[in-house]
Amino acid sequence: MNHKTYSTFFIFYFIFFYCHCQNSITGTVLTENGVPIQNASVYLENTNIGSSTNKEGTYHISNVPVGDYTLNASLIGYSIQKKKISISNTPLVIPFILSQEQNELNEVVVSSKSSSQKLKETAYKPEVVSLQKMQITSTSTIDIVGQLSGVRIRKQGGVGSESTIMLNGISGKGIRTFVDGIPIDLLGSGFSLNNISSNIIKQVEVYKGLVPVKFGTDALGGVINIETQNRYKNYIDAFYTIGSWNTHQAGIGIKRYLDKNKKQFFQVDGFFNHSDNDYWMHDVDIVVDELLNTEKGKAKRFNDKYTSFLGRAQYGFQNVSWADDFRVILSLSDITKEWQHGIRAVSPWGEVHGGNRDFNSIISWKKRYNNNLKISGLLGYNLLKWEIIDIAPKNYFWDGTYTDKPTKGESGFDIEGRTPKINTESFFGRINVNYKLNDNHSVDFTNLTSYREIKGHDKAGAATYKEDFYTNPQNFTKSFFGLSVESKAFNKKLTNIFSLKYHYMKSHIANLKEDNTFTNYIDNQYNLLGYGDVLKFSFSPNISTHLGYEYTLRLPDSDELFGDGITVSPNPNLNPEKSHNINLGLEYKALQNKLIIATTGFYRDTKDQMFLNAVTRGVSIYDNLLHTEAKGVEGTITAIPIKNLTLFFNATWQDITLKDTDKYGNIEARHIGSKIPNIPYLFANTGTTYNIPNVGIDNSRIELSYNNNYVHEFFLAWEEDGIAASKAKIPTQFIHNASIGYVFPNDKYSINLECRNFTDQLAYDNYLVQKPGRSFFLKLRMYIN
Amino acid sequence: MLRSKTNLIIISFLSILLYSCSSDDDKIIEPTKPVKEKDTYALLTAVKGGTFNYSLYLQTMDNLTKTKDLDNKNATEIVAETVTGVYQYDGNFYTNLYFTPERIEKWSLNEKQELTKQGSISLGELGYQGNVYFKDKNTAFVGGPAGTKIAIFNPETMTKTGYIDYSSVSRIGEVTNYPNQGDKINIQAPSEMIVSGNYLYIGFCFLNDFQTYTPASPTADILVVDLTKIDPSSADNSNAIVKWISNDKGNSVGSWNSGFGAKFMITDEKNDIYLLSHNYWGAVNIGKPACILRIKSGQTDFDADYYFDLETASRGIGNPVMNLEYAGNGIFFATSNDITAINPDDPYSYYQDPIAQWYKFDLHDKTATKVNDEYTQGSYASCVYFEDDKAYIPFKTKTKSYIKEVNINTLESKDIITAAGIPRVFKLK
Repeated sequence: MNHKTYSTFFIFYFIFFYCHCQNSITGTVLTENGVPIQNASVYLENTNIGSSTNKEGTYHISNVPVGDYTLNASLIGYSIQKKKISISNTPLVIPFILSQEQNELNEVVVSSKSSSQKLKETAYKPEVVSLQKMQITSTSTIDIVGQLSGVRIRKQGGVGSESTIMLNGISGKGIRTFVDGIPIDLLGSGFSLNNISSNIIKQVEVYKGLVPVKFGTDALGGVINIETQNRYKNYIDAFYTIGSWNTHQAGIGIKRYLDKNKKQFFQVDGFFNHSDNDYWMHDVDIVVDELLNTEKGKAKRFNDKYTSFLGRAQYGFQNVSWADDFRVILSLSDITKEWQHGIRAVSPWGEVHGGNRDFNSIISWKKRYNNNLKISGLLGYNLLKWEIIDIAPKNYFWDGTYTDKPTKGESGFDIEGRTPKINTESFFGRINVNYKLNDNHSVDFTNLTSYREIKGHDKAGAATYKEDFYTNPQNFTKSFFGLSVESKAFNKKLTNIFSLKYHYMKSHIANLKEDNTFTNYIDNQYNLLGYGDVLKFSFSPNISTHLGYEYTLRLPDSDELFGDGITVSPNPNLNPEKSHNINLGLEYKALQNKLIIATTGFYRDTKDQMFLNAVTRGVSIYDNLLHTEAKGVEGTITAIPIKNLTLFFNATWQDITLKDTDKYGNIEARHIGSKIPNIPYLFANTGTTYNIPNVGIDNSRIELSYNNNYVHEFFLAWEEDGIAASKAKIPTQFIHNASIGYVFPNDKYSINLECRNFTDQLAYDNYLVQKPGRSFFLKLRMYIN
Repeated sequence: MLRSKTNLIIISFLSILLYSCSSDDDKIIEPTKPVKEKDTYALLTAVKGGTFNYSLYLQTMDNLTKTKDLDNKNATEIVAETVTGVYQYDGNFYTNLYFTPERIEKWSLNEKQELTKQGSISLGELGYQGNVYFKDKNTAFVGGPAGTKIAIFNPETMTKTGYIDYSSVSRIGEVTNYPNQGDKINIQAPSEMIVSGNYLYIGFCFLNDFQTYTPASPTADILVVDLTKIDPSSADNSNAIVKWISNDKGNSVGSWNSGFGAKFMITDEKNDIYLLSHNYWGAVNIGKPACILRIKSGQTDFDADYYFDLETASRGIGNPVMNLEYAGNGIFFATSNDITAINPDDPYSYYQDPIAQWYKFDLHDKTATKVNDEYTQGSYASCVYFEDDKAYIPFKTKTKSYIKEVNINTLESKDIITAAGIPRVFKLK
C-alpha cells in the first residue's frame, strides 16, 4: 500500500466520529455511619462512563445516553454496590451507602466484583492483576506478571534485560503484549514489559491460549494486555525508588480536568529507569596470571548499564456528545543499553552497546450508541530509531581484562563488526464494533491493519553482508479481520463465543545466504484463517467451568523477518506458526469469595514454531523448526483466612514434547515424545500480604508482604541422553522476596522497603544465565488528588 | 469385632507363610556375582540440539565383537549444547570447546569407571581454537586465530605454562592478491599441528574473510618450530621459530576441530608427515583438488616429489575429500563428498545430509577404493578407530547413527554398534 492509500484508509476510520445526546446522574457515596467516602468510583457497568467522589462524597456523571444501566459504586476496602437505573431525559439522583469489607483481599488475589473480577468472569477467563495496591512496592511489572498462574518469565539479567514470557506451554513471540489494547510492537520498546513502570498501570490482563478478537492479533499462545491508569479524577502520582546496583527509578503521573464538568482533560505520565546492573556473577573464569590462566571466582557485571525514559501526554474529552472517550496521545521513549553477553553468559562482551528512541502518536475514540452499539477506533504512527554498536576487536574476560582479536565485534568471532542504524516507521489503524443484538446475543468485529517499513544503514555490517541491504526499504503489511458472536442461554448461565480470524500479510524482506551474505529481496504474501469457540457454564454463582478451542496462527514479526541487526539475521521465507489450543477449567468460590480455587488444563499442538537457529558461530536466524505438543495443568488458590491477611498459591506443570521432526532433519526422530530441552516444566508461586491498620495515624497502615517463586530443575539438553547426575541442568530455584511498607491515610504517601532474593540464592535462566542475587529497594510514593 | 481381628491375624500369618515359601526358595543360590571386569572401550556420541549445537555423551563398553544397540541412558554428558573436538591422550579425554566458552576440559575415568571432570583451561585469548597436539604428559599445544601465540599447557595439571609468540613472523596484512588483486591475509588460524623429530609443524588456514571462509592464499602453509628451543614455561619462545614453508598444490592445512576432533595431519611408521589439504573450508571450493602432501622425517620443507590427488583417485575432480584416518602401512580412510547429493534447496544440506561415502586410500600406491555404497553425514561422522585389521567407521544418516566394522584388507563389513548420536569408538587405557 502506498501513502495515498493509507490516507484514504485512515480517513475511513474518522467517519465514526460524530455526536449524540446524553443526560446526567448525581449523588453521594457514604459509609454506613454516614461519613462521606472520597475517591469512590461510580460508573455504569459495561461502559467507560463514570466518575469519582470528592471529599464530600458526591459525584456527578453527565451526558449519559438514554437507556437501562447498572450503576456501580466501589472503593477498595468496601463492598461494591449496584443499582439498576433507567436514563431518560430527567437528571437522576442516586445515593449509595457502602459497607466496609471484613477482609480486604489483596488486589493480586482480586477483590470482590472489581472491574478485574468482571473481566475474569468472561468466557475467556483471563488472569487479571490489579496493580492499584501494588504501587507502593518497587516490584517491576514483569515480576508481577511472573507471579501469575501458568506464566513463567525468563530473563537474561537485571533491570531492562531481555525477557521471554512462557504461557501455558507456548513462549516467546507466541505471546503478544498490548498496552491499552495496542500491540507493543506498534508502540515501541518503551512500553515493553521489562521497561514499563508499574505505577502507570491500572491492571494487567493475561489471556491464555484463547484470545478475544478485540485485540486484532495473531497471538499463538495468549495475550498480555496492560491497562494504564485512567482515573476519573484530578491527581498527581509520583514515586522515586533507589536500590541495589545503582538502580534509580522515578515516575510521575498527572491528570487534570480542564473544566468543572470533567469533560476535557490533560494527562501526562512519565518514568525513568536506570541501573548499572553490576551484580555479582558467580563461578565465572577470572584471570589469575599473565598467561591468562583462570580460576573460578566471582566478578561484577561491567557492561550492562540500562537507562530508559518514557514520557506520554494525553489530551482529550470524556463523556461528550460525540465521544465517550476521545484522546490524542503522544509519547516519546529513549533507551540506552549495554550488552554484557549473548544468549549465554560464559564469555562476556565488554563494549557492545546501543539504544533506541521511539516517537508515538495515537488518536483514539470510543462511543456507545443506545446501549446496543459500541464503536471504538484508533489511528497511530510510530517512528523507532535504533542502533547497535559492536566493533571492538577484543575478547573480554569476566574480570574486565581482554585480549585483541583479528576481527571486529564481540558478538561473533567470524563477523566484521555491526553498526546498524535503522529507522522503523509504522502506521496502524484499528476499529472495534460491538453490537448487542438482544440480551443474549452480541457480535464483535475488529480490524487492525498495520504497515511497517525499515530503512537505514550498517556500515560495519556491510563488510559481513557484502552489501548494506538496510539502505533499501524493507516492509510488511499486516491486516486482521476478526468476527465473534457471543451467545448466552439458560438464564445466562451458559456463555458461548464463536470467532473467526482472518490474517493477511505481505512482505518485502532482504534475503541472506547461510554464510550471511546478502543475495536479494524476497516478496511474500499470506492469507490465513483461524477460528475458535469458548464456552463457559456457571453451575451456580460459586462454581463455573469453561472450555475453549482455538486454531490460532501467528505471522512472523519484525525481529523475525528483519532480524535484530546484531545476532539475528533476516529471514524473508518464514511461514506462520499454527497451533490448536484447548483449555478446560473449573473454578470454585466460597466464603463470599474469600476462598477461590481454580484449575485449568491445557493442550497445545503447535506446528512450524519459529525457533532461533544458529547458522554460524555469530549469527542466528529464526526458522520454522519445531512441531511440539504441550499438555499441562495449572492451579490457583487464593484466600483470606483472617482479617487483613491474604494468601495466594499457584502452580503449573506442563509437558512440552517434540511431536515431529523439522524439515531439515535438525532434530533426530528418536526425540519425538521427549521433553523439549531448556524449558521449565514445573513452577509455582506463593505469596502473602498482611496489613496492620491505623499505626500511629488513623487510616494509615503497615503492609507486610512476602512471596516466593519456585522453579524445578530442568535439563539443558535432551532428557533421555546421559545419566541424570552428569547432565547440565538449570538447578531448582526457590527465590524469596519480602517487603515492608507504611502507607499514610488515603494512600497519600507511602514508603516501602523491599528485599528481593533475600536468601541470596544463585538464580538462573535460559542457558544458565545468572540473575541478580540479594538486592534492596526503597520506594517513596506520593499520591494527591 | 473379635472375629474380624482373629481373621486378620490369621490372614497376616498366612501371607507371611506364603511369602516365605515363594519361588525364590526353590532357586539355587548363585555365588556372589563377580566384580565386573573393567570395560576396555568407550563410545562417544554427539547428539544434535535444536540448533547447530551438539551435546556429547561418553560411555564404556566391554567389547567390540558383539552387535550392540546402545542408547545414552548410561552415558555421561561431557558437553552440553555447544560444539567441540574430543581427544584422548594418556587415558584421559579432553574436550576442546572452541565456540562457547573457548575452553579445554579434561575428563578421567575413576576406579569405578565413572567419568569425572579433572580441570579445565580457558582459551578466550585464542578465539575459535584449533586442534590440540599432545607432545607428552606435561606439554600440549593449541592455537587460534586471535593474537599471534600458540598456547602451551600442561595436560596433567590443566594449566597454561607458556606461549610460542610468532608475532615476529605474523602474516596478517600480507598482500596475497587472492582471491582478488590487492586482497590480503586478514585471519591466520593455527588449525592443527604435529611433531616429527625435533620440530613442531603448525598448519595454518589463512582467510581473507572469516564470515564466508574465503581463503586468503591458494597455498598450504606451515610454520616450523624448533622443539629443542621451546621452554614450556616461557611466554615468548619466539627464538624457536624456524620458518614458514608453503606448497602451492594445496590450500590450507589441518581440520580446525572439524568432525569433533578429526585430524588431517598424521605421521607414518617412518615418522614422515602426511597432511590432507582439502581446499574446501566452509564449502568454498577454490578449484584445486583435495590432496595429500608430505614432509619427510627431519625435514623442514615439503617433499616436492610427493603429491596425491585424492579427488581424481576417488569420485572425481570436484568432489571434495575430507578426513585422514590413518590405519597404518600407508592405508587411510576418508570421506568423499558427492556434490550431486547436496540438496540445492536446503541451505543446511552440506552440513546435515548424508552426502559422503567412505573410501580407503593408499598413500603409497595413490589409489582409492570405495568402502561401500552407504552414504553418511561426512562432516561430523569422521573419526575411525582401528584395531588389528578392523576399522570401526562411523556412519550417520537422516535416521540412523551406527558404527560399521570394516575389514581393512577385504572391506567386508557389518554393522556392529547402533548408537543414539554420531558415534566414535575409543580404546581405554
